[in-house]
Amino acid sequence: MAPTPRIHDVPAERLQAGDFVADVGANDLVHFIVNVGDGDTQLLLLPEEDGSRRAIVVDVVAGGKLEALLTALEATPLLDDKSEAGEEQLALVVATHPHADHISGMAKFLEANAARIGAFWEPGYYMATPTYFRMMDTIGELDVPHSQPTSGTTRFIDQVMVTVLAPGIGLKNQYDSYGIDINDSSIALRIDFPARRYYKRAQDRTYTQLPKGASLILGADAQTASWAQVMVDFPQLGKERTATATALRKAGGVRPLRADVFKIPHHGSKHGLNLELVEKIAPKISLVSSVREGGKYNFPHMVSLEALREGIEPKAQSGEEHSKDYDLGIHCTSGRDSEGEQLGSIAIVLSPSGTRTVWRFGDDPKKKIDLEDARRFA
Amino acid sequence: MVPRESTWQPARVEADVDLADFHYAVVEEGMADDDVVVLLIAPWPEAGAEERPYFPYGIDEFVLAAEREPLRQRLSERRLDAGAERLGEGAPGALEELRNRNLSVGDVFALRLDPGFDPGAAPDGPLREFDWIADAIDVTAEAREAAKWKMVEALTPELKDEVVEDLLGEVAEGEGA
Repeated sequence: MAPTPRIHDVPAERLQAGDFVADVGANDLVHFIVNVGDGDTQLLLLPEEDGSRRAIVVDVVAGGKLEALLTALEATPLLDDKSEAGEEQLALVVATHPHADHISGMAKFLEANAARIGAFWEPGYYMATPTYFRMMDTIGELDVPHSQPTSGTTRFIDQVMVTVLAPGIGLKNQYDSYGIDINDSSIALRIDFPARRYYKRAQDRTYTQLPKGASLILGADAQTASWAQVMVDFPQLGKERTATATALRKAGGVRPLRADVFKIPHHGSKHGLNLELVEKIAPKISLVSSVREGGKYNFPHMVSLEALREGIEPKAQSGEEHSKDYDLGIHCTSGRDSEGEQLGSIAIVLSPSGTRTVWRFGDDPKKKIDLEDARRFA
Repeated sequence: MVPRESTWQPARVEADVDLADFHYAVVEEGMADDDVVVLLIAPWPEAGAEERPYFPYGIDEFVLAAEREPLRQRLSERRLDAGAERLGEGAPGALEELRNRNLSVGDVFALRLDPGFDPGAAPDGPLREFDWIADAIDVTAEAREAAKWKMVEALTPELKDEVVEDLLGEVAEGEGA
């Protein structure tokens, strides 16, 4: 089924070997999507604070591969060795929802890293699977602060603001009933930095708003029922441009779903994405975790990819073809280059102004990431 | 974690049904417009703390995509009541309804598999043939309840005896009123 690659192959000349570690500045945030095949494992290295970085982990399938990545990073200036790290080096670990392709490695990861985990979030959706029982067995035995957040929950970690977009409380209150899909229990996150977006001008000591920052939306496996509630909970409101509103600094308007980087929900499932959501987010970079030939779920679905392409580059009226995926900022863990080399895990380096570089590590789902094998997408 | 040796026994499954040679099968996901379900199958769990299912690391789990309707039919045909008729007490037709109900994500069955079944040799694509399922017991209710209580037990300290007595006393008073 579906023998042709759904994501366009990247011309090999657009990928250049480089020094990934040297590319990451002290104030940058790095978002890794680890190539684990059918499933999700993500790591965010936060900007330095007092000379050290903390991290956020979102889902763990291949725990060994994630551990190896952390160990490799600890051998660089990007992350302190865990023996010297603070108690909350892994400031937040999130199990987005209890499907095995998101948490099958979580129990072991929690056991191995409990001493450096600051908080653990899961959605409170109970599922009678072996992986869920194991995860909760482990949580019961560890002393890790635990929460079941819903939309609007906010956590500040150094210069990073984490906002829970989903699940909405309306969904959570319906878990123990028929009709709520486990995917819709997913914890979807918005990450903004720097969280403090104003500064004090030296010359007159007034405070000035900074023009922009960087933001990511990590969609987990949330489906359209959940995203519909997100759009209600986080409405896009226009700025009121009257003189009074300006003078009183009121009604500034909000676009709470606009983001630079969008981790596409549910591996590109047709149930996880629609055109309106893409238009609201307007991502510069879209990231898909999936396997080459679709895997057992046949992800990403073509209809989702088309919605993504159209949302980024509207062509429906003209009927013209969309640009190639790589020129639309769409990157997939299962992608290949024009010479057939797999592209593997993805790292996005985001500066506070939102400037982005995309790195690929060429790894197979069953192989470790070698930071020295990185190629930069140009 | 401390390994346990006894077998998890759902409360409503008759004690004389030995579940040790059964497998634990969960409907983990629906896909392809719900014509196909994803089954996660593991060896039958041990009895853990508070008699909840306990799945050690390293057990031989596997995942299968299965066509929903033929799977439902096979489960219905090979269903052992094994005490499940108690669910239907006082509700005419309930047992028949349970036996033939549609499969939902989160459903759990104890399955006795044909010894010759090799999941690694299964053909590509969703399975249509289920003659490898020899017997099936619907343990959805017990498994869901166990998962729910597992979550609570993981996140809360054990209830003190005096609190239990106090609450039970209040229940008894309420029943007497």
